[in-house]
Amino acid sequence: MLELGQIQSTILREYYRKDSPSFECYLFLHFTEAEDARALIKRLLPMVTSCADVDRGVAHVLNIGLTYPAVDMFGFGGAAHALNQTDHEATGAIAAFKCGMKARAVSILGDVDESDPDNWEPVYRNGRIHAVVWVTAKQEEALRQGVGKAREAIDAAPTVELLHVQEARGFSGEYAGTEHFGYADGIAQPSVLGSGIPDHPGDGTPRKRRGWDRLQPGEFVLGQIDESGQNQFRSPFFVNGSFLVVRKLQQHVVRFREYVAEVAQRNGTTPELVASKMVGRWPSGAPLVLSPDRDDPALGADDRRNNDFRYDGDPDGLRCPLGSHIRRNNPREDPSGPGAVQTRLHRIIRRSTPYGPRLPDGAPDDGKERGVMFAVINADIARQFEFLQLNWINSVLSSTVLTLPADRDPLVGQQLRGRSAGKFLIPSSHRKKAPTIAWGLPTFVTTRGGAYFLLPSLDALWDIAHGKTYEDPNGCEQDEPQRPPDPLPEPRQPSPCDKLPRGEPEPAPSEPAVEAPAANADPPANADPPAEVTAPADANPPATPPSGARSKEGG
Amino acid sequence: MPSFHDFDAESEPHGDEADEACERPEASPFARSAGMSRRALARGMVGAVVTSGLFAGCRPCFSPFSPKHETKLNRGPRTFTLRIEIQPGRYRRLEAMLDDPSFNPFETPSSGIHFARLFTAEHRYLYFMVIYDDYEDAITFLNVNAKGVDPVFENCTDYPGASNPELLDEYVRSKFLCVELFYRAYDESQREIRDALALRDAFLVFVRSIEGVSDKELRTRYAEFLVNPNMLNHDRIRDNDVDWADTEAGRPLRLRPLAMPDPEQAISAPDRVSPFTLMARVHPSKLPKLVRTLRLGTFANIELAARPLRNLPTLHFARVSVVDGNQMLFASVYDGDFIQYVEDFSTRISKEIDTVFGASVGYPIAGSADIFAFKDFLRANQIVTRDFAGSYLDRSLLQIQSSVKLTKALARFSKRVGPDHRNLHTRMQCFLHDHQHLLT
Repeated sequence: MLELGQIQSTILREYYRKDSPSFECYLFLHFTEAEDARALIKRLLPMVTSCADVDRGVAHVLNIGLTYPAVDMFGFGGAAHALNQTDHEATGAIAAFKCGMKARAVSILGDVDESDPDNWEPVYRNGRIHAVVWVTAKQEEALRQGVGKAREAIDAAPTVELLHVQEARGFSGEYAGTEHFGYADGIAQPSVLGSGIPDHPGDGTPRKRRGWDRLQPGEFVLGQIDESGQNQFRSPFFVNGSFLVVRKLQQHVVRFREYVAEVAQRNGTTPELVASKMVGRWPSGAPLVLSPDRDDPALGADDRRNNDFRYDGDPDGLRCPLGSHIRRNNPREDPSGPGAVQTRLHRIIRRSTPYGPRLPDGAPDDGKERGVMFAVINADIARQFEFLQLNWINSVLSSTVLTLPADRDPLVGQQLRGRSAGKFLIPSSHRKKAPTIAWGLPTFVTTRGGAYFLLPSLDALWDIAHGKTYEDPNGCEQDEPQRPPDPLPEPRQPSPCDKLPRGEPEPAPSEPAVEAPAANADPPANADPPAEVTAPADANPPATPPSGARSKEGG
Repeated sequence: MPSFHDFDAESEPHGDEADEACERPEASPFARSAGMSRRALARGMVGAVVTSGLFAGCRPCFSPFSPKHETKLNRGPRTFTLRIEIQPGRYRRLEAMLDDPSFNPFETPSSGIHFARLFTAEHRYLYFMVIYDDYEDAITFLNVNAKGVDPVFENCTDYPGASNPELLDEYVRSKFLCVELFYRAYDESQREIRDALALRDAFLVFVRSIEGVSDKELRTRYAEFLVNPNMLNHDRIRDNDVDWADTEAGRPLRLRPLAMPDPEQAISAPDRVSPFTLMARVHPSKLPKLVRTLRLGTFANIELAARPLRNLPTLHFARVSVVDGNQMLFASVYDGDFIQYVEDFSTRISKEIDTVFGASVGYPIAGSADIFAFKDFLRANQIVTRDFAGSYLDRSLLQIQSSVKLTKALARFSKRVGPDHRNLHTRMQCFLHDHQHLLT
């Protein structure tokens, strides 16, 4: 059993569709002075809810996430840095967090054209976010109370700047639980071992014949055993924390409806069928694999059945097309794609709540912005969220059937333009009927901004609030945060932000640096302070020539 | 409850039973299942061989119904690896030259070359690997790129220059490094692949253009499509020996160097194919077994060779050499992201990978199934590929496989169904249905 009293509630609670809160508010903060920020966290700490609090019942939920600059400001950057020296895998996990979303948006997340970081909202573009206070509630009044208390605490900290307030609210009535395209959202969440909540069939990893296994908690909670059977994060600062990805995704509803209607009309079918084939589910949430011909609201509403399926019986994608959104992002045990062994390494917990008014069916474009505030919980941003985005959404799957790199996730992928625009193929099951092909897919979902956060455990938040420091895993004493920065910057390590999504793998992290320190003049665009500023000198032993040194210097 | 002694007594045959067991050797599984003794089975097999020789008129084989054809050399891409000693004091200079992003040794396209790469190792050696259709193609490739290649190879000992093919040929042969194992995912020549890819692109345009058109219009467009220069011209190429690389200007299928890392362009850049090179020290005690295994063809023994798509949809080529009797050199060409590539190894062909890499020092105890440790092993032993060029860097393996299949299918279809066919519309729909998985 996990230490549920230590884990912030958003990590393991209320992510299933029917439990999810309808009202959300994100308060993005910028810190100027560490002491003031500590005082703010100290004031907010009693309000932060853990998973155990939610189980006991609370009116609203408040969680705090910190970006890497904030972690560094509090003097814990060294914890991450020391981890870099010892563990390759955690290096990958921390590298993404350190760089921040903006630095990796184009190269890894595929945010180009309309989604380009230059077109993001200023708050995300400027890279000044240090923390997010995330308040959610099932009632609007409770949310107001929670946000009011949080703002009181923020107002009491003179140097803390409230950068932006982003609200989101779920639809009510017949559209409850759906997003702007009209499809039920929040189904197929991973079930986590030891989370203490009942899971639904289909949420875990498929067993060999039938049944599902729960995922190891280390996939979502740091400092726990993950699917590789290892604990990648042993530093007490990380234990019971998690990484949070927040993305503001704009949905182009009119573009989606018009395109789907056009394809349907050209091929003599219904717009609902074309759209559902793209999603992989009917609007009610009923999966196409179980109900291929028509929507089945009863099935969609039944959490015991609506996710209990595999793709073994549909190797050719006749029911659920191979390129559809749900099949790409959670291939389960796909006979024509990644197997269960691979899928289990790339699961994420998603929480998305719509923002903006719902556009009534058939209504013309009202010019208003709408979309979802999309949040992801994962223990390794690079291996989980970024991998999905890079390989399964915006690229060709490691599949035995999908071949065209131009064909991306039809729903959320960033489509190319012009001649190289992607398409989406709906296989035909009739002998004398050609498949339906949706040519020249436009981009239906664009990114308006986002950031990577660490959701520390309640203990770690207490430590931050009280200025406590840890010994790093190497046994070296962590320096006091007030220590003046080391005047001699160490040679620049190959920046993880430079990581190519395709192409050569990163060289071994301990490879001798080749670039001069002056190269630091070009830091990640979100202006992360260089790690060496606060990193203790003794936490960075001189890089011993590893076996990987051969990669440059020969054996 | 039986004691240990009881067990021993039960497991030991004795008396008549034991004698019988000694006299009659155990029959083979097949014979056992057929209820035959080994001798009877042998008689039957001899009979079958003789019968097949009589009736099928071929040299004896074990199947009377499908006589084996004469064995011949498999067609398809081949490879060589050169290991050339760098002149003393020239290593740094060479390294700087290869690292220069503006320097491209392989500027001139040349047909018959799939991929080529250059890298240095051990401060002493320059390695050159090329995957080609004919050995002459490889020599021609170096020859036409003499301007780019000469400055590199001049740093090595005894280099005669690439402008003289005879001397170059002699030099190349003297520098061969034995390739113990070569895996390839396709058997088609570079020209065939290039044409197939172009044809599939043209076919997709054609399919889009016939959506909802009248019967007459369909016939016109189909007739137009059939005169596509890429359509079924492989025989023509062989006959005329035309260099199609020159006639296909504008097609992105020429030999191009690896784009330098540019994170800003990564997603939108079309290149999908990447090289991976690794050099790992081998346990001396495990070396003989490794060489034996490699020569038997670990990769060939698994289904990979027969059904590469089913097993490893991202690996174009892989080859392994043993260097100096104590190191293993592994080089591959793969699609997509490195993490995905490693996971494909670990999840799809874990056993075979363990057989190949298991002899290396530092290999994870749990083998490649421990993905994280395996990834660390690969990263730690990786060698930077200094220059990499390929004929279809923007095409994935699956795309190549699909294009080749589609080309063959179209060849068959166009023979049976011409533009004047009575049921052209229905036949076209059936064709698209039957091959819809090649269009995804």
